Amino acid sequence: MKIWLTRKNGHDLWLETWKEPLLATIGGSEESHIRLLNKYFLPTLSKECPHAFNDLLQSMANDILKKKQTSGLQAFMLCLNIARREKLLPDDGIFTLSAFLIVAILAFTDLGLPSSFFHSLLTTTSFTIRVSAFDFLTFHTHQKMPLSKPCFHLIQSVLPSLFAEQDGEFRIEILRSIRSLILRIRASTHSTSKELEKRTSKLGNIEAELTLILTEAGDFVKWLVGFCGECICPGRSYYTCSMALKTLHFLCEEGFFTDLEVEVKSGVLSGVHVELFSSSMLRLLLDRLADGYDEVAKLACCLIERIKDPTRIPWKTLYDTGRELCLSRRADKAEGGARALCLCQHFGKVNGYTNVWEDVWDSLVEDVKTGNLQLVAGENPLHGRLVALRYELLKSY
Amino acid sequence: MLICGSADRLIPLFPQILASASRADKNQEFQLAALDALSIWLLRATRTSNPSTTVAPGISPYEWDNLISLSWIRWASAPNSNAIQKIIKELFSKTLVLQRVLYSDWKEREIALLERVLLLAGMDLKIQCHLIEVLVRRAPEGAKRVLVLRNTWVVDMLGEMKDSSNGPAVGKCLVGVLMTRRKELLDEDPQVTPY
Repeated sequence: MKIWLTRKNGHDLWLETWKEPLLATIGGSEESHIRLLNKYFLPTLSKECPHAFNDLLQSMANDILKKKQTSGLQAFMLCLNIARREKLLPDDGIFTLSAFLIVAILAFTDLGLPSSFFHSLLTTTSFTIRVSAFDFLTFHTHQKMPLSKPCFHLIQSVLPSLFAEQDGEFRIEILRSIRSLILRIRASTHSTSKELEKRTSKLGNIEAELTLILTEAGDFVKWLVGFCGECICPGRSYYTCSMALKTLHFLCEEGFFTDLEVEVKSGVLSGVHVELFSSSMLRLLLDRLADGYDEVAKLACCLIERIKDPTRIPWKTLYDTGRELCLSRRADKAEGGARALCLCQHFGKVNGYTNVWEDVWDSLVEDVKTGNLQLVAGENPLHGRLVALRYELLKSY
Repeated sequence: MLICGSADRLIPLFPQILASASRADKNQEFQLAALDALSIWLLRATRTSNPSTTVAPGISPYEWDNLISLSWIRWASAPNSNAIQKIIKELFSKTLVLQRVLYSDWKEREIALLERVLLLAGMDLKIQCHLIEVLVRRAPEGAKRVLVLRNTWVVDMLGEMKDSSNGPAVGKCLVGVLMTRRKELLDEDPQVTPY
């Protein structure tokens, strides 16, 4: 009788030394620990030995499929994102977007996982998995690769829940992903519009397809601006509001808005443009000037400051409200009033309010001179007016 | 301090330089200068002619042991300064180079040192990681020895990464040891897929 002995090769032996301990550690660890492994161990390993990293991914996918266990999902998603960044996934070599493919799903199906599996990750309860899946959905090693319509739909479906997250560290992660998404839209639409102009396509698309790419990206950006508007409606939480305003800032910095004065640093200009200041958006941003959170008020103010057509702002109402709020006993309202007055002064040539500071100073001196402590403490508090003077002197509000 | 290259001038300086480098009670400038002086001494000693016959007899086993353990002892006692930590790491590498030219049994010494570093309790994890990383690459079958001597080493190190301050050092060391192990296996079994 012949006995066949299966001899493990060196590669298998090597994998055995670390793969199981790694999977076991990740399986039983807290998210903070996994994040550290993701930061200091896995990327170095993937760089040093991409082959082993692919083996690890395949093994994780097999575990998910065979054992139906989801405990390794966090690690799997983190590893997938590392693999994507290191250009280890099969779709990273593809430079044509065939049939509006979602590259994330392609990567999943390539590992033997069902295509529907990816959707479930975007709505799972674990935040790490959701953020990783979102990052995976939006990131591509080729920035010029346009996003497909189903991809935009998926992003639209998950943004409301991602914007509502309260964990600071994770919100930073989401913002990072959103920024890279915006950069990708900018780069892909720039490239598409250039190709459309030249009527030559490196992507192999015909004119109609190039136009469709621009239309879809434009529709998405319009939706995103509208969504951010909804997020800054009165009553929305600080988290949602702050995320929306930061997203608008990203769009602003990358030159997506036609009605804002922005010095775009990059030479890559977006192929799609939208207007920010609809009448409702303007009202929402003006309301946020007196937000209880200084960060939110500052972000709103920075956007209004850049308006190209300041005549659209109701200056008389803003000035009167600013004066009124300046005398508020609530610090946030008083500071909001100060900010409104600063804006009036900033656009003095347009609205005629050129002596705001003299007025504020005079009223301040007048109230102090009365020597009536009751009046100054109760009815005409000094805080808002002093803050207004500080904003003007430091030129920062 | 002038450190000349000939062995008969270098040897008498060694006890004093080593003692100065071991002083943790002096100010930071002194400590940095003393460690720097030792580093220069090691370089000069390595470059002397026939160091195994001229330098080696002048260093007692006690002094050599002090020199070897200086890295982790001074890491723990020196001020938490990047410059000092950098020079301590440098000292260790230079000591290993000197060991190779001084002693014919340097292989056994490197193996013994690796085992000592690996099993020594109470050593600061950052310097321990660095020492293991250096020794594993030098000692014959260094990575294999680590994994055999402490068979839970990979798990332990992955666990140590919970502490974010150790994360970079532990991660680098872990990957370093694993990649060395891969190379060792590749040498044993040419069928191993190249990276």
